[in-house]
Amino acid sequence: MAIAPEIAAEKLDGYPVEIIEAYRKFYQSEDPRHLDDVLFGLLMFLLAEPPVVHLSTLPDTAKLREDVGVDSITITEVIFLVEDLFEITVPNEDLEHITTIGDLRSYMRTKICS
Amino acid sequence: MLMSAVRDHAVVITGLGLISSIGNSSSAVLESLINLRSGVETMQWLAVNKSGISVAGTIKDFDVSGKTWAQWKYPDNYRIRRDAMRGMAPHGVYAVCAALQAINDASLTEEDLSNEFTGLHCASAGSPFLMRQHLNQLYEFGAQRGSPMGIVSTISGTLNFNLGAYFRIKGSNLGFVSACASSSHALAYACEEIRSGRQLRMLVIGAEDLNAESILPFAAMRVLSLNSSSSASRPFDSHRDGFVGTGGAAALILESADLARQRGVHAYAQLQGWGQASDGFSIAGSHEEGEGLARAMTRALKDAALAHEEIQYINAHATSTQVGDVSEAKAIARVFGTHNTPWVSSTKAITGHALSMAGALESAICCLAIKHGFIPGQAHLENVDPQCAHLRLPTRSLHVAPKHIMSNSSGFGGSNVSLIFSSP
Repeated sequence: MAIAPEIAAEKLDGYPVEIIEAYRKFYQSEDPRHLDDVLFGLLMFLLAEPPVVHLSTLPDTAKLREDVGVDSITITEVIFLVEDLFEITVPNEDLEHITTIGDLRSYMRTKICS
Repeated sequence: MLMSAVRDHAVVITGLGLISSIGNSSSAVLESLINLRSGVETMQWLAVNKSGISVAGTIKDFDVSGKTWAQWKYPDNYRIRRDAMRGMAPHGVYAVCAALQAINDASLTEEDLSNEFTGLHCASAGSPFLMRQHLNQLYEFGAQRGSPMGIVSTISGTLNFNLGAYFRIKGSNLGFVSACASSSHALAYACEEIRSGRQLRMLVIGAEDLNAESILPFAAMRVLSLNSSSSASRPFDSHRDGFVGTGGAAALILESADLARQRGVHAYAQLQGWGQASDGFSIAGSHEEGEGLARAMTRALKDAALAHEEIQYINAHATSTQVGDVSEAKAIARVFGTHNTPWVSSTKAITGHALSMAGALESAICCLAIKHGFIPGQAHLENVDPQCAHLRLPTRSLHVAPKHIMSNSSGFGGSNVSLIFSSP
């Protein structure tokens, strides 16, 4: 169950407004494309050298570590933020299987939208 | 440069960086010291402040009061990598800015720090402020739903974890924990790393948060000033009533004299000697007769091969507490006698007390005093405590160029460190 947009906005204070807006849109519409914008927006914001294109436009096969430069602590931090916003729990054993952009997108869509 | 090529292991300071209540650059700090301009002002600690503590040595042009790093703001002339800020405490932000100043001041680049002969020594008390945020999350949601940066951004050691990674340090990398003597210990052992030839260059940084969580617990020990003026901190004065807290960061680049010479850079001062000794007396209070500090000063003089008459100025630890200032005054009398002592002042009168960062901040001040030929005055001194009357306390800064300066620091558990800086 996602937390109310105004509470999310407090938690995301200092993050790009596009992420906060995408969260609000997802909360209202449950359109998974807005969830992607939140998820990959957070990831881009935390990366030292974000790619020039938005992560959500990369092919599903793009590897988080090798192709995007996401280290283990960064993916863990994104997972924490998503857990906090959507009040879900991602078990350690699930984390091991999230290695590509597509893995991350489909896992979160399933976990949150269902 | 090959380490075996270095013959002269004397240690010099070639770079300074300061984020402090009295200025966010060496030049601003210098001006404040010469004019004895206080950095202390009213501080809004908490929404409801029941402590009666109303002032601090505030850090201007930064806002690191937000609960998360994403909310923090720092001056536009710095650029801190965002991915690195995720693991920092508020004082980590101050520290990176101070380090960048020092690196530039020493005519180095960030890349020059990343090699096997450059080390990092840090001192901070960690971040109770951030620790509280993370523990609240733990209590509310359990252990797994927390920030993965919760530990590295909060515990004692956060500064060396972060800066070691940020500057890609490949030599020694560690932190020092002796409370308000911590960054003096960090400097002293950095000196030893260079003297021994294990390292040629050391980045030494002391830094502290400035917020309710770091400072107000001292009110329970009844050691914080209840005075609400910018002159609340008044070391050696009869009407002193406790210390005024501050934070920020002070960074120093230490190098072997040989390396500095080969690079053709100016040295502020030589770190000529140091000494340490413990009181063996109390968990928190200074020895009433200043025994440990006197031994530390004596050992520093011996290490520097100087007679006590050769010290022209002592930058005192004196924090403006009743017991501590008298203890130090007695310690100085033990080593220097009671007649014609060196000039003595505590610059905490205008900076506030920077806790574990104090030694680094005051060492930087000593370096500025040697380079620019002045002795900082004792601000806010109106009625000298009779027990401190044997000290030569200048009520304004003096145009006297000191050749040898001693800087004292004392921490909980009776840990005392004296450093001696000399003109290079």
